[in-house]
Order: sequence, then C-alpha cells, then structure tokens
Amino acid sequence: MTAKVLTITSGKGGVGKTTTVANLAVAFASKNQKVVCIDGDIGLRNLDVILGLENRIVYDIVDIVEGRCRTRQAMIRDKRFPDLFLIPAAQTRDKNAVSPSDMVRLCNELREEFDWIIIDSPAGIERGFKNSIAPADIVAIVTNPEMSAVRDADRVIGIIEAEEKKPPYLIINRIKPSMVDKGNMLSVDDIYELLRIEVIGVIPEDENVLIASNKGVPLAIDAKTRSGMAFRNIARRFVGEEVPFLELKETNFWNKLNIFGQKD
Amino acid sequence: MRDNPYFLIKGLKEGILVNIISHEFKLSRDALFTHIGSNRSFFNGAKMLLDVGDIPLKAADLGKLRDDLADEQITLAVIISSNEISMRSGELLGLSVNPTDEKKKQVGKINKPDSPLWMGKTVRSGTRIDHMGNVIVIGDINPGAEVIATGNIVVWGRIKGFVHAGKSGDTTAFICALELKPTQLRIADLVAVSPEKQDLYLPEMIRIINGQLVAEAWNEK
Repeated sequence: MTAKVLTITSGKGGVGKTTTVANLAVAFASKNQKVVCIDGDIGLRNLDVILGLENRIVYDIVDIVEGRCRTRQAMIRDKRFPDLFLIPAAQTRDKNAVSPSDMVRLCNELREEFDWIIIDSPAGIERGFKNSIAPADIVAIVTNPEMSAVRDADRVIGIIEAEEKKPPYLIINRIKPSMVDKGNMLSVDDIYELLRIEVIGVIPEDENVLIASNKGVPLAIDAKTRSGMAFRNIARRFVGEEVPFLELKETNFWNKLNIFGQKD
Repeated sequence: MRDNPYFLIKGLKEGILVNIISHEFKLSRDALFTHIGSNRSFFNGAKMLLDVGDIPLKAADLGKLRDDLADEQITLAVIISSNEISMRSGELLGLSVNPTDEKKKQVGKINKPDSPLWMGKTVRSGTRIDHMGNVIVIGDINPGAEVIATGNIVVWGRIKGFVHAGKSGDTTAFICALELKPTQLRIADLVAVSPEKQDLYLPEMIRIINGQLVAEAWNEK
C-alpha cells in the first residue's frame, strides 16, 4: 500500500477546510480505505472536535516530531471506523514546532500502512500552510462563493504552482442555489472562470453540517443529506470513479408537476 | 573577490554577476549574504545577475532570495541557469532568464526593450512581474497580481489585476488585452481605474493620447 497525501487548504479561514477533511475521511473510510488525518493547525486544533475524538488525545504531532512518543502512540483510532485514524495537533504550541521536512518524514513513515493521508491545513500562507503542503501529492482548495475567499484561493494556487506541485483541485463549499439564481451569489461557473482549476466537488449550504460538526459526527457517515452525499462524491472522484455532479436544486413534487405542465 | 568555495563575483558594466559554484545552495546563499553584509557600499543599489548553473531553484526559494536581496537594496534582474526548474522559476518571478544564450559578455543587452518577457500562463494573485522591456502574457492577470514593465504590456486574456506600462516614464507605451477590467491601470505616470460594470468587453488597447489615457476598441481600424 502506498498512500496518497491529500492536503486540504484554502487561504481564507472559515470556509470549511476542517469540515471537508472530516467528511472526506469518513467517506473514504466507509469505502473501506485506510485513512489517517493529520491536523496541521497547531495551536488552534479543531479536527479532533469535529471527528468527536477530543477526549482521547494523549500524544500529538509535536510529541511525534520531538520524539516523546512513537507515531503509533499518537494515532487515535476512530470510534466508528477501525481503519480511520487521527494524528491531532498540539494545542499549547505554535506552527514553528514542526517543519516542512518533519511533515515529509512523518508522511513517508505512514505511507506504507494507509491508502490516504489527509492533512488539514491552517488558514493563511505562512509556516503552518507550508508544513501542510510540503508532503502533498494532491492539493485541494476549499473556497466559498464569495469574492474574498476566491481571491485567497487564487493566491494559494499561485503558491502551489510555484512549489512545482500538480495543479490543485477545487472544492466549492456552502453554495446556495436560490441566491445564485437571483444573481446574488457567485456561481460555480463564475468561480471556475477566475481560478481555472478542476472542480472536484460542490457542496450546497446545509445547516445539518454545522449540527453534525457540533455533535462530532461528520455528516458523510451516511448519505441521508445532500451535503453528505456531495462529500461522499468527492471521495469517489478522488479514487477515480466517474460521478456526475448533484443537481443543486431540490426538485420536489410540485416542481416536477410544473415541468409536466410545461411539456403539455 | 573570491577565495570561497561558494560563489564568484564579477563586476560588469551592467551590474554584478554572481556565479554560484557550490551545489549547496543554502550554504552559498548564506555565504553570499555574509559577503554582502561586509561590503555594503559595493552592493548598495546594484543590479544583480545571478548564475546558478544547473542547481534547481524553486520559485519560492528564488522569490525569497529576491526579496532578501531587495532588503539589501540589491535588485535581482537576471537569472542564468541550465536547469529547467530554475529557468521556470525565473520566468514565474518575471526575471530575465538566460538573456543572451549564456554569452555573459552581452548580459547588458537584455535591457533593450526588444527582449520581451514571455509569460505563458495566468498570472495569479500575489505574483509580481517587473520587467525592463515588453511583457507578453498568454492567460489572465488575476486580481491581486501586478505586472509592471518599462515597455508595453500585451495580454491574450483578461486583465483584472494591476498593470503599469512605461513605468520609467515612456508615454508611448500601451497596454492591450482581450478584456480590460483592471483594478488599476497605469501608463507612465497616468492612473486609471476600470469604469463600473460593463456588459460586454471587447479587445481594447489603452495608450496616452493628448495627455490622457484613452481606450480604443481593437477592431476600430
């Protein structure tokens, strides 16, 4: 087994990186892939909370890097999926506790055992971001349909190109079809126009995401919601399946009736 | 000026040629900055031509070097290399790359406006291209990117970022693009911003006519 290292980053904060990492992780795990998540946000860790594993942390990534524990000891096994692990960030240290070459070394050590290593990058373009993209084979950029997030994504794409990485993929999060229709929100096409990188997923705005995050149960565990489905589809695309994009608009009974009406 | 295993320095009419000999770029770099630190008067305000041989230099590293040199009041203008990564990095940063087929004697000639900088892809936010001469971009100039030239700027794509042609005061310089909606545009010392939203953008050329910036549709003549 040789794992692929997937780094999720964004430039701007609060666009849904950590949520995406958690949901992709459970989506991969439910496809029987062996997954380890690494929280790259040292000092402001969140991934453990969203995965619901906060109270199991004994060692963290800084302990590994500074030799206070073996890598195995810092890996927390998920409650639901035996093949899903988390390496948490340290909360009491800062980004400088780990270097890009430490990250490369750690990932190389983990590669043999896993299918996917998913790194949750912090916001910004400084040390923590550099640490997170250093070992990446694949980079995915999360953005929201708002101008400032798209600008920051563009900046990050430029940096990733300069690092001689493959072109990153784009995940558009929190899109509201009704607002797009009224011309009050950037559409997927608008965003693609500016960034010109492959869109690998579009997640509709959904309050269930927040509810699930607060409970520590990522939504993609089941395919009951549209957003959960959208996250699962991203995972399927990453493993090479051809998955059509979800219709963003909900088609309810009355809409369908309307379509029939128009045909006649 | 030598006796170190890391680099050679030669003063040319066009600037200071630094030849990196060691393959340990980090060490060479540190040694170079120590040298600069103890010879400030020699380097102050100088233009640097950097020959890195076949060492692969990532754009991030080269960009850092350029910024650090700028802090020492040194302008990194030219990169000479046989390594493809280093050449690409140079291009990405808007430096003149291998300006004279490695005939270093002629290095000064790169500053003639007839050696344009070729940028074969979209210039993204955070990238700054500053070139002595003309600049040709095949792709967009995104918001947050800056393209500055002493000559003209020609873009086969959309200008949405910052562009400045004729920066040393050349009032005959022009800017043309398939779609012109820059955050700000300058020619010589005149400044303009895009008009409010238009529905339709046509290929346009902007230049100075009677002391004013004027945009003309490309199909006019």
